[in-house]
Amino acid sequence: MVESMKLIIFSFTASLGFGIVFRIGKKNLLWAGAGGALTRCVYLFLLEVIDQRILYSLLAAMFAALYAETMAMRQKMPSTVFLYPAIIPLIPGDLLYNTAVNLLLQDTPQMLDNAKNCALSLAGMSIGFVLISTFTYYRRIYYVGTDIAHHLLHRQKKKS
Amino acid sequence: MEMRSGMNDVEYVLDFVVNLGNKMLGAGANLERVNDTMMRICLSYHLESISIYSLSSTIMVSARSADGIYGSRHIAVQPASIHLERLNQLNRLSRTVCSEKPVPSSLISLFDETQQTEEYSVPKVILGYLIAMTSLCVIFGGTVRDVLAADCITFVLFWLIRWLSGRNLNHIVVNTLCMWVSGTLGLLLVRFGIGEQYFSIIITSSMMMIPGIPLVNAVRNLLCGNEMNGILEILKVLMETVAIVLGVVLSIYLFGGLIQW
Repeated sequence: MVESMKLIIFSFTASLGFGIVFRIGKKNLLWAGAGGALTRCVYLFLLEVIDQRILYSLLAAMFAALYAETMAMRQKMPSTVFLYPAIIPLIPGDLLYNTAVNLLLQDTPQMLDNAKNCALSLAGMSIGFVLISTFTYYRRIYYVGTDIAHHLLHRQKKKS
Repeated sequence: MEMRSGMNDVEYVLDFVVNLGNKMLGAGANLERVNDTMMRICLSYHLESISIYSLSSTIMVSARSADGIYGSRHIAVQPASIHLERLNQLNRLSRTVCSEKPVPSSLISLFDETQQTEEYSVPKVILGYLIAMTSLCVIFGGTVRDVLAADCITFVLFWLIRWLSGRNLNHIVVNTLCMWVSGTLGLLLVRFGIGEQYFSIIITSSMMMIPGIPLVNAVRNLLCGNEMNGILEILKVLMETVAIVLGVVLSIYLFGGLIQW
């Protein structure tokens, strides 16, 4: 529990730090940090209940993307602004680094293992992002379509 | 279509569109969003036969106006660092253009507003790096002394990258050189008792350079149908990562004996 709390707090500060590095506006920095902390929370929970790396990466990425889309709608900003800091806890940078180390040290079995884990994480994350962005895209189209339909109906009523 | 200084309106719109795409990609937008934005602007000016082809290194756009005048633009994307506040401003600009449709010849001057983005001062950016690296070092299991060592390396790396980026050097060479310096510094710091676990320190420092966001975007592009861009980006990320690790391995081969002194 203490270890998990430590990870969540440091995920918050890591995302906040990267928020400054990525030049997010001051008023959104705390939201950037919150995205990282919440994504870590969900990731830790999923680690407990799911074994497959691709699945827990996918669900955690879906959560991060959903958070980013919700914040983007609330703050009227591109979702990328909230997505990049939120996915900091999920990026398998250490796995990528270890893969390259094993490659250079010619430790093939270890390299393949790290590469497989890295690829599964990335695939899961990307599928998660694509699912959420497709959902929000069609949601937007639906609402734009509804607006246009309302507008046309209103005009027809006025005419009649 | 009106003609001004040898350019027609379709060319003014395309000029604006490719420049906007270039700036958005530079600020960190993903390709999907950039293509979508360029398409919306072209449609809002009633252009027809719109064709957009973009990679993270180039953008090509062609279109035809309602009265049959063709235009095309091709631009090489300038590499830049992620700047999400600028991306926000560019996004706002694209929405304004789509809704208000300003005169095409005035479009390019609208970029001036996005240049006035509030910037963090250099000390604040360094502070951001230090906060991020401190947190990552703890997450990777580093001790307080490791955090101190990782922060020293982060500080040196920041200035080194800044100095090298003005020298127009190959990216692979820059990555290898930077990680060789940080690998050597890490060994020295462990040798002098400032750091404890060399690999916690060095993995943390490498996170400053490992292209995590481009890697995620590359795989996303691959899944979204931008296969060409996805493959090129993955190759680039892999080359950069191997260069980063090569720098560390070289420092261990050259100065690895320092730890055993």
